Amino acid sequence: MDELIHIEVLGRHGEVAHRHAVRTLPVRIRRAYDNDLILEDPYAAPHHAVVERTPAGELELVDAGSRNGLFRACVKHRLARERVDPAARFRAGRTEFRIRSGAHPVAEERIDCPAGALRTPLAGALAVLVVVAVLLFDAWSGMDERTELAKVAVAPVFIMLALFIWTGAWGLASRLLAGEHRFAAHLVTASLALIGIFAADRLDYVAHAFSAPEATSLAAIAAVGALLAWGLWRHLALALRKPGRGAAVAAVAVATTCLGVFALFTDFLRAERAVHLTYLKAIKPPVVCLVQGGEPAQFFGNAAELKSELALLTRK
Amino acid sequence: MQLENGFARRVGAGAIALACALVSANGAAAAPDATSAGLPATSAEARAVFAHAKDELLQILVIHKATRARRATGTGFIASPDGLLLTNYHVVSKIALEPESYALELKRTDGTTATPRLVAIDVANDLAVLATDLRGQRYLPLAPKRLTKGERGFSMGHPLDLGLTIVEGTYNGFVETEFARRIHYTGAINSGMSGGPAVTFDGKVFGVNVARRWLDQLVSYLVPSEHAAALLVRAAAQRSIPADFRVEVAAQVRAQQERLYARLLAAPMPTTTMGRFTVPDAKVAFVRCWGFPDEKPERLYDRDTRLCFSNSTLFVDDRLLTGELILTHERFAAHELGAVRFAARIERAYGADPTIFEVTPNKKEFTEFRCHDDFVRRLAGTLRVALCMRAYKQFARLYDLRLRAVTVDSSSSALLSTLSLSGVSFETGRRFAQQYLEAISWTN
Repeated sequence: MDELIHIEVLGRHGEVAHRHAVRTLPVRIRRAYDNDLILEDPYAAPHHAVVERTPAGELELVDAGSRNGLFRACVKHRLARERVDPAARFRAGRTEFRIRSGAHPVAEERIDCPAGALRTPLAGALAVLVVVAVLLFDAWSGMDERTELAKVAVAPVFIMLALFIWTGAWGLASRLLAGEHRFAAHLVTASLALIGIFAADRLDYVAHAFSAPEATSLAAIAAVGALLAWGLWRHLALALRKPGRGAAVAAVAVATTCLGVFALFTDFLRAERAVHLTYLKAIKPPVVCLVQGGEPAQFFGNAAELKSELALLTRK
Repeated sequence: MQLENGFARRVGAGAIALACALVSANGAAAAPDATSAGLPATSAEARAVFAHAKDELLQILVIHKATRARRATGTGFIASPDGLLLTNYHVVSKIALEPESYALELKRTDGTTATPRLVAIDVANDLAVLATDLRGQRYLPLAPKRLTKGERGFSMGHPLDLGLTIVEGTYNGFVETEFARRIHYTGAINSGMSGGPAVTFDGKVFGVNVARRWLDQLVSYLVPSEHAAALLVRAAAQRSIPADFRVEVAAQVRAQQERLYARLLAAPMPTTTMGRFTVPDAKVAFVRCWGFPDEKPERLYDRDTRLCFSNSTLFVDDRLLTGELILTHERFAAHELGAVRFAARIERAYGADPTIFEVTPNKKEFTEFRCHDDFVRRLAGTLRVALCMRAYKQFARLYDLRLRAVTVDSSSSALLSTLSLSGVSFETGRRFAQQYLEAISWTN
């Protein structure tokens, strides 16, 4: 009896859709019902390929006379016969498969993440409550007229709607790619990112306290960028079966692109309207102000550098 | 000029020359004969003046070279035996600033045309002198004596391209609320009459049509004839015509601004009070102030606004008015907001762009604003101050300045003050802004 061999029919994303174990060679792979492995693929021949052992004892895949041919995946060169490589993917018709022996090594088990608590519906609900509280506080702090409570409550509706649409889209992607929706985990991720961005926006308190607009502006941009990248990576990691380094690279690339586009757009708007004034607009309660400032003469002395800045702009 | 209570607008041009003029021995048009049997005296007088001066008035056309169509029209009159023509600067500003794109044409009452040349300008008084080949012809003399209030006069020009027109009006002295000296003339001056003469009953020019109050009735302005006389003398005496009038415009705008701010800076900055705040004021006739209480009962705070602006605008181009000074003080007092919400309210006011209602300027005319901001310590507390300036690209050493200052030491009341200067030199603007800031104080 031959050793155990597995013929794995692969799905669209390379995952194993079906695994067929055989102990006897040759194995006939084709569409007709008189075969050992039947492919439900109209582009596979009734008698398409055969797996057999060579006189030297190696496994070999042979084209049994199909019209569409036998190929290595993503290679155009048609195969007549090919030595079986456990890492290789073959294609018959439009079906990809690979052949592995029973001795093929497998990786060690993965340690299950102890933060599984963040994937529970309770965690998702708590995250949403925190987001709602933050948005309500933000709406309330901007209201300076007598108003009904209902108006304050309406303020976060659109952001919450967007949050659920975003989370739902990622849940759908997870379902399609990883087989589970993981909606609560996506909701927690999106909520944490939103809360983080809200907190980063509050760095203007630091800017006001220390009169340091440039430094805090850079810090805020970096924080928002990092949160965007983290959020995207986390969503990708939840949605993919095997999130590799590519997911992290993609997340960083998208976050950087978004920030870059935003910066270019802001700069474009500023340049288009020569009337736009750029200075630190943050004004916070008196207790936050930690800097006393200098005398007017010192302020206007420091402002003298504007002349040389404007001289450079005039030459453009 | 965009303020809601209306400003004098520059009058365009258009009219037809009428009347016959009596010529004296030296070429000046003699006094008109007002006797005419069968007519009321006033009508006879007007008809005589009109008949008298029509040949000295010409319609000015500013032609866009590329399309050969008119871009602006106005009126001018022959003001010297050398054939020098007086008109408004704003009629011929395109010739001064874009001579490569525009050309001048004169149209006489008999339909003939001539091509004049711009030789001198006075931006502050909105006057210009053109050289023509009309030497030795009749001209309108300038009135040597000042009129008295209530005297009748006759303004002439080409309103709305309807033909040469005479408009009777009343001399009402000088406008006290303008920085530039202007005659208040009660008469219907319309677009097209800019640059035309206002004459006495005996045909002497006492003023040059320059503007009317937009949306108001019969409130018109004239440039006093002494400024026209001074420009004529300068034009006749200059050795050569300026090669680039843009340089001349910039120099004249700077000079006018230096005069304006020399007057404002000659004494310590006056102040007035708004609640517990003492704020800068301008106690000169050409700066007017208005108060606006905030009357929305649903608001959880009170806001009172004091807005002062100067009547010192200079017309440089139809897209560029400069020379203005605006002071805005907003006092906020909160009752039920709390520290966080009050600070958020002040932040919105401080961050609101004070230039939001400006016409978006051409980037070829201005640089972007550049700002310097920081905390400033005063005796009573701390201010957050932002000073922003931009430079004029076409006119050297001219800047626009915006200063915003807000008190940050109270959770229930605050003052937001904004200073806006246009067309100043860098040092003058900075000096004035510093005095302005130092004039802000308050009690705790």
